[in-house]
Amino acid sequence: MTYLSFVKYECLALYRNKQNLFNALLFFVMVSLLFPLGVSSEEAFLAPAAGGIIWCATLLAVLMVVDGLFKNDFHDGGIEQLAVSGLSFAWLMLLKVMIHWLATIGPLLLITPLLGYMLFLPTDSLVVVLLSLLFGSPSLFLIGSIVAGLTLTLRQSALLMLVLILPFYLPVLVFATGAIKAQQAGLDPSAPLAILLAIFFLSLAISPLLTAISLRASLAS
Amino acid sequence: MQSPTSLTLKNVSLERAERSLCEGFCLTIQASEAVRVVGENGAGKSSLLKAILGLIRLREGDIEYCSNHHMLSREEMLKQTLYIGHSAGLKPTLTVEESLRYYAPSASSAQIKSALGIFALAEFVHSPIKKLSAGQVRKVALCRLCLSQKTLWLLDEPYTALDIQAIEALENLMQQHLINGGILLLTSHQAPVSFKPRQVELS
Repeated sequence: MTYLSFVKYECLALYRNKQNLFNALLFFVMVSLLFPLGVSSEEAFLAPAAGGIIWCATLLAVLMVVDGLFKNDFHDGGIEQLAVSGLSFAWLMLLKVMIHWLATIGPLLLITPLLGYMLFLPTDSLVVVLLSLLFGSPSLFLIGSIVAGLTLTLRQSALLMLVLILPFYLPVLVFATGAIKAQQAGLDPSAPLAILLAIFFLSLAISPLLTAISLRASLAS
Repeated sequence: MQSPTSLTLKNVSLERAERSLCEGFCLTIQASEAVRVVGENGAGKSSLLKAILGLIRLREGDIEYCSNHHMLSREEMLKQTLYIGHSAGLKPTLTVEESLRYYAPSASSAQIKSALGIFALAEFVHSPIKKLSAGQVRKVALCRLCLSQKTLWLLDEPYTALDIQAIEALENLMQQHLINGGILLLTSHQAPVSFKPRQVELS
């Protein structure tokens, strides 16, 4: 196995399982749709709330994807083979997370302008929303992969995963919506955006190693 | 004098779920040598293989792998190792050919064809793994033995779910591997018919 063949066939397998990605996207759209239907469809409510709605929907969709990140590979023995392939396990896991991030967030970013239009999101805010998604969502995947590895062998992993993961997701959510609010209040959103980037770089540095460790622990148990 | 390639287990002690599996286990395998680990169910045969691969931590002892009189690190050892465990490690949605290319990207189409021919899988080249039977999936995993040039083979119950022809083909491959100077460590309840590996008991 080489890094290249890993990436190639990981993408191919993901493409063949595209139903899962489509489900996450559909979930994202459905959650965003619930707010105008359930709370209020007036512009006065939706315009300031749109950024937060899009971010909450993203967070829930990412949670759904991250939960299944390693499950199939673990059950068919693929993770074990990766761990003994002689390639760096941490790099392989980083590549895997990157592929899944691209496949999930790519379509989500494409559909966000449409949702923004539907939720009366002001056009100048759209850029900030997209930037915050671009800077913030990789952290969600990187942090999520650590916990997904850790809870892999547990039978009731979904609830534990939620409890472990949410505290680490909150800062991302707070600074992302903070950036959008700042822009809408006429302030400069670059400071919260910079913090989102900082969280991304921090998780980029520690997540592959910790994911590798937590997966090895799951393999050994 | 030591042969150029060897795998040495020194005083290995293993435990699983607070239960001691083996104490002070010693074993040296030289090039062109085959060792079959036997023991009851739960004696720790699979765990021993996993410990050699670094998947399970040793409680005590050392595992050394030498190649050309140099001791190699675990990572270098893994590059020369082919492990086939209980699960085949094949993605259900990929086809047979894609699964083999995933593990052996440099193999040519002719090589893949001949490997599948050995295990009578030629007609399934383009079938997805999920459409195959348990024995066929096993055979696809074993095709990796023909496609990669690894020195150290660790096979965990390779005979499971195989038919008689496949067992014969597998034993031919193992013998060829030994002639080429490889090392073979397998766990199996069934003794190979066509050659006699050294037998080591785990208790």
